[in-house]
Amino acid sequence: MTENTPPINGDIHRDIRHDSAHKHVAGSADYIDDIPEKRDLLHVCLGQSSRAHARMKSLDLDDVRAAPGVVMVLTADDIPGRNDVSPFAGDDPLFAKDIVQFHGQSIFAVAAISRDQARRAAKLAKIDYEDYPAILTIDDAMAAKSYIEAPQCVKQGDSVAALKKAPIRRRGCFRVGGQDHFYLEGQIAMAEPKEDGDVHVWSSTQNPTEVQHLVAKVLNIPDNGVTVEVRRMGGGFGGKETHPSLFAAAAALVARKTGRTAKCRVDRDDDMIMTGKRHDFRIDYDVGFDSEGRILGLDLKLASRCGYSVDLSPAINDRAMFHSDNCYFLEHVTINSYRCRTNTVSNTAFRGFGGPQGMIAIERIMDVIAHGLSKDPLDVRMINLYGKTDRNITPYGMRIEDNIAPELIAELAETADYKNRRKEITAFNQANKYLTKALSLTPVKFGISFTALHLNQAGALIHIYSDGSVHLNHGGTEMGQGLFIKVAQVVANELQIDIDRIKISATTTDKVPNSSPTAASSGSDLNGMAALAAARTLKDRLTAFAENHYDCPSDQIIFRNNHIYLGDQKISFNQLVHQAYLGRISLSSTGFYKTPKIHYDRKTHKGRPFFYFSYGAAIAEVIIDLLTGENKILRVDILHDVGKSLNPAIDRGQIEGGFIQGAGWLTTEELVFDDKGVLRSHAPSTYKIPTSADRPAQMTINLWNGVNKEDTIHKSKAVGEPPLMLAIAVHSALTLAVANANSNKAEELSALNAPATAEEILSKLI
Amino acid sequence: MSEIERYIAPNQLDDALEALAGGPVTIVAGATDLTPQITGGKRVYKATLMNIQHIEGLNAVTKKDGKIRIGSLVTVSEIRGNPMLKKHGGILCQAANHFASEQIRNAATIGGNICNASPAGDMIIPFLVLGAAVELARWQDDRIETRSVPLDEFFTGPGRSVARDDELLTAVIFDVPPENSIGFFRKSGPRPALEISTVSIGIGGDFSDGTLKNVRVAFGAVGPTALRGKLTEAALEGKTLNQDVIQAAALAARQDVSPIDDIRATKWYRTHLIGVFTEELLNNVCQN
Amino acid sequence: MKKHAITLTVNGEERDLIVPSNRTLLDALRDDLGYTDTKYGCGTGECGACTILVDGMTTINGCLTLAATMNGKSITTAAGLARNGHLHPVQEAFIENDAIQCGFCTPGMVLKTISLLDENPRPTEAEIRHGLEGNICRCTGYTKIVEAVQDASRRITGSNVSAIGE
Repeated sequence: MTENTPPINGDIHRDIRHDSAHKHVAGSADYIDDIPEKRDLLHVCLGQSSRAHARMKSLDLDDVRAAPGVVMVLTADDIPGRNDVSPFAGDDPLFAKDIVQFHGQSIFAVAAISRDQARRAAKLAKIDYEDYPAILTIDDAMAAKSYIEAPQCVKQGDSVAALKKAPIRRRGCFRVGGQDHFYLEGQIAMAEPKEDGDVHVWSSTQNPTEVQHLVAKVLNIPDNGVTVEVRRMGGGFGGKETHPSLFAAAAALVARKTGRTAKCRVDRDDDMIMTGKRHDFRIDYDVGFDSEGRILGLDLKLASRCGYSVDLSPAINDRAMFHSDNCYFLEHVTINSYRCRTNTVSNTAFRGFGGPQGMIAIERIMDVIAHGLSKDPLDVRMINLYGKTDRNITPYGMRIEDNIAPELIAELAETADYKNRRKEITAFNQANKYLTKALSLTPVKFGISFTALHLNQAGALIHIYSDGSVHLNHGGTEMGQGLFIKVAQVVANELQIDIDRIKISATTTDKVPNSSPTAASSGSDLNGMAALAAARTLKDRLTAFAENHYDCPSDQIIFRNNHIYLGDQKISFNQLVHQAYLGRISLSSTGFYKTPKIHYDRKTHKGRPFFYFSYGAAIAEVIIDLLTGENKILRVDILHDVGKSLNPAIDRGQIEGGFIQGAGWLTTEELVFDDKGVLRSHAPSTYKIPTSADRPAQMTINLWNGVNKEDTIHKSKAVGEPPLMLAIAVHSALTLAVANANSNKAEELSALNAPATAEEILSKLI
Repeated sequence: MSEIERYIAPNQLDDALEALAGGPVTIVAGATDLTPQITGGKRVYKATLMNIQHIEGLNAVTKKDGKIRIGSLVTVSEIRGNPMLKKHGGILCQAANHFASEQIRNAATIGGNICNASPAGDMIIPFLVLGAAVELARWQDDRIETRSVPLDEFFTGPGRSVARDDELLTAVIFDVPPENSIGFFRKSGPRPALEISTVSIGIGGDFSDGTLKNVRVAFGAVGPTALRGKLTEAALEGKTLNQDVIQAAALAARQDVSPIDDIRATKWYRTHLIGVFTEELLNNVCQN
Repeated sequence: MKKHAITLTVNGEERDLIVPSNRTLLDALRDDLGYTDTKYGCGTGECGACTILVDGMTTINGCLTLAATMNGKSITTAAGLARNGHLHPVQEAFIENDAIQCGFCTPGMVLKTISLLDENPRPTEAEIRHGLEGNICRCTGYTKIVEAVQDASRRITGSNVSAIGE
């Protein structure tokens, strides 16, 4: 009876449009700055340090206070609670007191009638500094042993002995730059005072719960006095995981002190100067291998610039260590990780969370080995892949149970005609004096789960109203990645109702408490499961009610396409809901989920930190102009594993966008700090993120046909971060192109750094 | 922080010049350079803000008596799409093609690009190659007084020129290039457009029988102002183009420039590119 | 700061307002007139989130333009594109090609596309990529945006766009 029923609208495993797409094209999707302002709203601007490391001998804010339109100026002394907006370490002051630790650090807040007045007034501070020595670079910090925590080590086997025995050995060093998030909507928060001293905060944050905690601590009120809400962000990419608290706390403090709504919309330049970025790394390797290219021993040193405070750097650098194997078995390996404390902005989460920096290390090593042996780098990669039943233990002691890398790589190489194109490129290079091409295939294996165990939990809340319409809420946040539509699909599927009957609602801490940040690619995995649990609870209650009310055994009650089939009877979902309401059935439920199987001991860096892995591979073909170093990605082929996709259209969007963002990181996006620790590339005119013209003319993306082996939400896999690392193929290809150009002249592979700007490439040509 | 006390938008040139004569004035047209400079704190508004967009007679491109005259309010988009300029000043259209984004091209004016006096001002290069002069007008003894300044004598430093505070740039004028003239423009940056040049270069002259005459070479972003490459010009003038001459010109070009290290590129890279681009453009000339 | 009375026609509606001389058109549209569909992205004319159409099909950056200089002009924002409750074909194409993620660049991107197709109704793939350069999208990698523009071209011209160029 139900077999021939058509599926609901908005079912899982289908291409469903982003829920806000219509509003976005019509310009009616509201971001925080679009919410109508209260008439007496105040604009908040933060006054910044102009030194990298100094003591403030005096802080004279008289001119700031006297400036036109200024209503209030607040410093550290005005904070009723704790002067801290850090995620856990307690070392990110809302307002620096006495000592400033980076150029751009917040010192005070000015609240004025207009944004322009606030901004102008903030520049009038008179601060007398006594400069302290500033540690700015990784090399400075390494020399001074300046770390945010003790160096960490992941070890497997005996790399010292293995290296000694290895017939061939290569050592090298290269650097990988940082990356600004450049979410199109900058940091912003608006705070409205409520009764009892409470405050409601709209914050463009991936982490409403953390903003709630930190605002409460700053105001010295309990968490239940602060509600944090976000309907959508104009991009996040990790940049809105910890840093929004600074601006939210400033706005909330002004709101509390003045009794007026306060908004802090950060100028783009200030945003780029004041908020942390992807960590830049210095990577040193010492690798031993045999004549086949098989790695016998590896000693890897990863040193990153963390900035002045801890932020999330421990976990980010842990993840860098955990991805230094990528898809390759490292029987004898030592990975030493140095987390450098510098007098620069505190670096933070960015799509991949350290993973990309670890992964590019081992991919470089693959190219170095292949170059040393004059082999096809793909052959070297293949020979080093993890095994299925043996050679499958990661350096951190986790057994890999879902390895699909060998098949996935083989399929991509086949469909993208890797071998033939490599030959064509060799011919092209022989025929061209000033242009050189190269092709590279690099794989991705990315571990899914927060490495901080407690974050692997989520909650959801579903109401069914008596008319049968559904209200959906969960702790995940929408930053454009399509989380809300995916979770709504899960609920629609479970309740078997059309998706347009489900109201997707803003993330808010008063509906679902204690949420984890929407990060680590975990949004759909965690919140999808929590919403499924809530929907199941409601469905079970409705089923139990129907069993009684309609006198039908529960095994004959089937929810299908907006109806409930009860043996021979069929009633609409709305009818059942209404009857259940009259029957005094609770139609509201929470749902909860925690990721199973994972465990991890940070002291030894051993365990199973990841529930599963997402895989992918990319082939990039590039061309470089040998006279100028100018370069171009000609063609990209991607095969990516998203398990059984909840929404292939949304997942493809993540793959395309992640790849281009990764390509930007590795080619044009260059963060330049001067010798005073001042960020010089703090606007899009100097910091070059990819434009449409940078997109490769030919880009083929396919989804791997498979399901997640683990019991994830409808067998799908996380997709947010992994595709960014597909772009390592671009950097590898550029490295190989430089090698092609230098062939016969250089024995060693050039240590091309990232970003591989035209100038960087040219500087490596001999 | 100064405040704007007066905003005016005159329709007539003499009103505008009178206002300029009367005190400190910030001139605005497309505002594409002005606004970021103000918000970035690099510049402050003067007491009077004068919008010159409505002044009659400054927005035309005309060809008359062997001269081409481009009014200072002509936008980069208008240059880009002007058929007469495509024919007689193609290098201008090439540069306009590579100028920022369409949104900025639609608002940015020639007068603004020149008066902003950026060493990297993209439209300055083709005008230098065309041997253009700027027309400056001011209010003197109750009438409009104009003078002409060759563009290569106009700039005195980054953001600075010989224009006096009471002068308004009203037009850029150059001789209609002869039939056998050529002109090529090239710029570099991480991407083709929406980019402040790492370096830019223009080469032009009269080309017949493989020989370049009346050569003009201009470089951007390699010194305190956009500049003429006098050594390069000397290396090319009257010479029949061959690889030896081209190599010599490329060497001269490297000596013509004095770039600095900055956030966009190092001195080394800029100097290198100038040589490479000189060679590339001269090879283009040969193939023309 | 000196203030001026100006009149703007926004999405067909004549609006009188008083602005300080230094007010940008973007701020006037957003803060004074409530057209919040025009976005602040960078404030320096590089990202294109504030793109609007002036006097027909000319795109400019609202963040660079001084409102006072726009007196008497007619402005179109994304909110003004629908006709009789129907979206513009470019808007439809953006939805149906999934060319939207966070959506912050979308209003500007849609307006830029309309202007691009007005000038060149059958652009090649390369012309599209070049044409959209002034509008940054940090999410999509532009693939689906380019596809949306190609689709919009088909919708507008009722024919196939020219072959992929480069």
